[in-house]
Amino acid sequence: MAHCSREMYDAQWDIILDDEFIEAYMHGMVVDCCDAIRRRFYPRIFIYSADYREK
Amino acid sequence: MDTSTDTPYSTPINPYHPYPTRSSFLLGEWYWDKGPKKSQSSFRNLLEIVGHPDFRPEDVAATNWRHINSQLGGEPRSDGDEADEACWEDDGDWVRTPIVINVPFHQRSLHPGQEKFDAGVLYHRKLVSVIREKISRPSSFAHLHFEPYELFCQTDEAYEPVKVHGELYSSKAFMDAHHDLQNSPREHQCELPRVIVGLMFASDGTQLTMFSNNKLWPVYLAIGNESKYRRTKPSCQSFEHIAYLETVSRLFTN
Repeated sequence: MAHCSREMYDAQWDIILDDEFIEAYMHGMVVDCCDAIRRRFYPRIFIYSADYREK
Repeated sequence: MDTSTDTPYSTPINPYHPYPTRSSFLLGEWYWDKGPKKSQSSFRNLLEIVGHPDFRPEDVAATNWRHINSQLGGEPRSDGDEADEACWEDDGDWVRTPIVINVPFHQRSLHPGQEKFDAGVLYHRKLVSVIREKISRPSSFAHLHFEPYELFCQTDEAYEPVKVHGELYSSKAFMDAHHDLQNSPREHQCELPRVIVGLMFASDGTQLTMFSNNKLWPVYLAIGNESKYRRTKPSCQSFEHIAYLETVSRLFTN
């Protein structure tokens, strides 16, 4: 059961952090900003704050 | 409303659903209304209910209260109520992705080894489009910090300046990520300014109703380029919902 919970959890984060996100993480994502400047944004995860869901 | 017909199946649609009768509805409402603590006045309400000529003790004696409370708590109706499913459908950029997990079977079972198991559906948003939308939204763009900086406080010239810790965009972690990015090789023929987007994920079980143990595990996303003084203001709506996590226990009880 604990194993299934962990699998379930990992599988769902696998869906959330999809290929499109990995691509943006590696090579950035180009966004035309409101100040008329085009920038390349690189998402980085700094904080993950959650209860211990594997249990 | 016709109060004289107090039998469960006198009309095709029971107006007291999930309560079978008017008497049981009144009692149930008395129980849940105004929270779990009962007062003198709510006791008088109870006396009014059971003292009314229409009240039938035989109706409420046979009522399955546990079942009714679980229905109040949002469990699906047994008559195939599809309304819940339908209202999820037209919800902007939310998508459903099937979850597949590996379940191990031990050596002495019929088919030992790993088996793929269809573990329901994850209701979520595409992370990149949420970030893109957040950055380009005019109302939040003006408040985003793209360049990290260090903040010092010096109260007296006799003392050394003290580093102030407060925002993600003035933290060492953000500064390091920023410098690593600026020092990394550029994308081919791309001279655009490169900026770190600081993602902050949060998740916690949320009790949905008083009536049951139904819970939801939302995943939230906030962006550290925005000041904590804005992020923590509910009126700024800085936290984005990313997903509602499924749990194994929910799967097995369903």
